Amino acid sequence: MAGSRLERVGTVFSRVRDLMCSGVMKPADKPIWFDVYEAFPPKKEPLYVKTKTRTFVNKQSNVPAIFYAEDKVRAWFYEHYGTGSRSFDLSNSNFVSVCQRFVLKYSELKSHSELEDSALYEMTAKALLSEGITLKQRARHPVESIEPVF
Amino acid sequence: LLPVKVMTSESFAALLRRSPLIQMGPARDKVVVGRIIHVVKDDLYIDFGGKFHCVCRRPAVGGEKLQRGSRVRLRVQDLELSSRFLGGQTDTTLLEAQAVLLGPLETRDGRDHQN
Repeated sequence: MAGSRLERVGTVFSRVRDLMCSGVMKPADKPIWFDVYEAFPPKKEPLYVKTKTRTFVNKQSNVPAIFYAEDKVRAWFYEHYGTGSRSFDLSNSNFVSVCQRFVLKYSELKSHSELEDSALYEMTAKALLSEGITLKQRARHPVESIEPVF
Repeated sequence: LLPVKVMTSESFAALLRRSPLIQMGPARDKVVVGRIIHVVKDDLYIDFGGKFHCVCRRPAVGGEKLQRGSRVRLRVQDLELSSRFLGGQTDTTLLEAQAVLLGPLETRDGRDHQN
């Protein structure tokens, strides 16, 4: 490069020297320090060296996913009954959705009886039906898989 | 006399566990209730209590009734529109959710809430 005013190319001395060589800078404009620098150059050339920034292409996230025990029940509920008949009101912190009632009833029944999961699910559905909540079965394909996305 | 607010001693973790956000699970295709917070001609900015608001177009049928403060029903597609560009280190986000407007919220007596 003949001469550059960009402050990171080469050293300030090399820039001024090249500018004067090419004629961009007139000899009358020569800086005071130029001759001094030429006679007594510094031990370390003041070159701008970019510090190496370590970039991880695949950043490992150390944040663990939040999973609860009742998520298993919720997954079963959403797989079998679709997205639920009632709309969610997210702004109400005391809101209890149909799914949550299912989960609460399930945990209640689980603490009382010793049945296995699939039987407990049927019992929970029947219990909710007796309380007046009808759950519509969703037509589902047997090869569908649920991936927990959070 | 102002009503006294009772401070519960529940921890944040307990509150989060039974919050409607966790109850909802994956947000795709869930129906939520939202409130219109801003209107720009035909664009309705709707807040449904998620991380971001969503922007929906005013429907052709019955769209005039939807004003700032109206409560509507939405089907959420995505809580945050974000994806990673090739060569990027982090995702780029639009700071917006995506939802389909289903219509005004119908209450049991047939009229929709306006507050």
